[in-house]
Amino acid sequence: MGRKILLVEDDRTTADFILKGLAEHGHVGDHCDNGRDGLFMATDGGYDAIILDRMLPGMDGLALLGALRAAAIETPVILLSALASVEDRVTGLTAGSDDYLVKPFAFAELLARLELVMRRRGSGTAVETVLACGTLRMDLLRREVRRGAQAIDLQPREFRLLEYLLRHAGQVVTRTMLLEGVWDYHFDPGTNVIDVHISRLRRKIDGADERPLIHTVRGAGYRLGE
Amino acid sequence: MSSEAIPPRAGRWTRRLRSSHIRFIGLILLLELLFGGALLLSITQLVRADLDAADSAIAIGARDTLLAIAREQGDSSLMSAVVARMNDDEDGVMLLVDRAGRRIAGNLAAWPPTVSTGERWTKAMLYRIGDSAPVPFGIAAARLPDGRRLLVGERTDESDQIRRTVEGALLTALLLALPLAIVGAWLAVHIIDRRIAHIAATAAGVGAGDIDRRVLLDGSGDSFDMLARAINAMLDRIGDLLAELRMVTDSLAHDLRSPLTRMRARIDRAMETDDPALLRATIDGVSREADALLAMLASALEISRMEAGIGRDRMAPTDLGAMLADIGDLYEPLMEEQARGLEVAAPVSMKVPVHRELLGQALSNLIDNALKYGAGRVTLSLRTEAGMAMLCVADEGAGIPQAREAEALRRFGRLDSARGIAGAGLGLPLVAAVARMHGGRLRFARRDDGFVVEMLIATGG
Repeated sequence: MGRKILLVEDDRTTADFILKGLAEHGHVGDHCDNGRDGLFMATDGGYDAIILDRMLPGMDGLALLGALRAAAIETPVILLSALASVEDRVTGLTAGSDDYLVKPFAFAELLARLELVMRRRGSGTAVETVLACGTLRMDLLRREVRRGAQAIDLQPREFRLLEYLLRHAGQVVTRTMLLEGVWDYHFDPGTNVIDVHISRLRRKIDGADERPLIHTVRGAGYRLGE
Repeated sequence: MSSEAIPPRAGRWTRRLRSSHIRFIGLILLLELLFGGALLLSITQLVRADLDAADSAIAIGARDTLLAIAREQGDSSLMSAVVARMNDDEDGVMLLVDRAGRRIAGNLAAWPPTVSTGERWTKAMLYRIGDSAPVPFGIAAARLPDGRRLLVGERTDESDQIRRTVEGALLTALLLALPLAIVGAWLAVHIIDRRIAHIAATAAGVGAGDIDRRVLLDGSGDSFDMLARAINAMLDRIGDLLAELRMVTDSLAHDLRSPLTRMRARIDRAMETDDPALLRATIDGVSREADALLAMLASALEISRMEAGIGRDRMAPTDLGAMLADIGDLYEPLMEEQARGLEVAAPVSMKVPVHRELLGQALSNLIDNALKYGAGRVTLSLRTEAGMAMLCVADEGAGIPQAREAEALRRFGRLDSARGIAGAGLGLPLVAAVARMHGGRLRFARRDDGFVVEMLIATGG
């Protein structure tokens, strides 16, 4: 499912790196290298998502974002920035971006977040009470999880972790996305804390006889799917 | 610059009049003049009134005596009294005229036109018969019932002399006081000027690069002393920030060099080979090194920002007990996997304003340290001590030796035992910076059963 994505980025190397990655994953990437053209294309082009550099010649990324949102254009936006501090991140998110990614980043991280913001906008507001993937079913009202006929007993945190994976089934979720989505922290835990949580969860839901549902994506994170 | 405040066309004198010195001296002079003038005026008025009262009493007394003689003893007695008094009193003036104004007796040739019988007492310059120069007199006059008029007077040169002396003395004093006032004003300006010039010289010196210069204090606690103290405090803070900056750049330069050199060497080696496995391994290694470098840079910048006081506005009341439980929950599986175990003992629920992300990072660093360098179970606990919240991360290992504490807290400082383990030596310095940002500090405790890192943070709003 190819998507149309606008990239506003003045650094040629970074832009090529992203465009190449987008093409490899079947997306169509349009590129411009300054804020003014970026605003023109964004108001006009019917894009599924915009990847926006924070510091641009002509028009600052935050200003562009403000102009877009003021014009009621709600295309999902991921801000790219070399500013890594907690403060900068908060400023970016309050300015109306859907996500904030600090340079340098792995392309897998960008792709995972891109798919997340596009899906978030695409999905309606319908309240789901049952999440499922293959033979795995999660009943959110009764807080029950079953793999086939087998009931699985999960700790509250494991339940939330699995819920997050199920809500993003088929997508790659990175370790930082899990830390943000499940624990609501943005700091760098340094060690592989998330991996251990995942392997615990995997032991519980992927029994010996079952087809594994939680897959490790090398260099990126995890994906739940058949 | 202050010179920009003066319009370019202002002349030398306009410029000079703008000077606070000139204005100050002018103000003191003006006040001195006003005060001196008022003093002079009031004293001369008082002296004049006093002398006039004495002079008028003599003249009026003499006149009333003569009038009484005329009333009670008759005309001849009045005449002889007038003549007797005239012969008696050389300093007096005396005149009796008839209804037509002709002289009957006395030592004045005619009734002076400036004297009337209606006034109680008056002063006039008169020529007595035989006088070659006019003499000042205080005069009392009266009309007798039969229409004759009587004039009695007494010389006032003495009181005039006293008055002139007093006025002269006062004026001289005032004139003498003027230069004294100028000198006083100049001295006052000079005293203020010296202190301000010292402050300005210090500031200029610091501006020119002599960072360690400070304004001298005199301990008086006056406004200059307060200004000096405030400026010194500001200079201290600037000095700290500069030292901080120097430290960070020096350490960064030093600590970036070795991993970058390592990366460079690996890449060089990989360029000489076609073995795909070796190439792959090299890329993996280089990528890990790059990640470590980025993490180190992020920490170093975060610490510097905290030390500069950025981010304090993002503090929000947070339940520390719940936060410890959250962080514990995040690390618990990892601890268990390494056969270490983690326990959270936070019986109190305590809402304290904190920067959640930075405090989370700090706790994460402490647990990470306990995991890498400590031993046994790790316990997270929350207590209060002396009105502060105390977050403790304890393990059962030996911990940091007391003698090495300062070294462990130094940025990029890594103890020998840690050299073999990945890390940049920024973990504890970041924790200490977070504690300071929260108005607290970092402390180490050694107990029989292990090592505790205690992070104190202020609970006040």
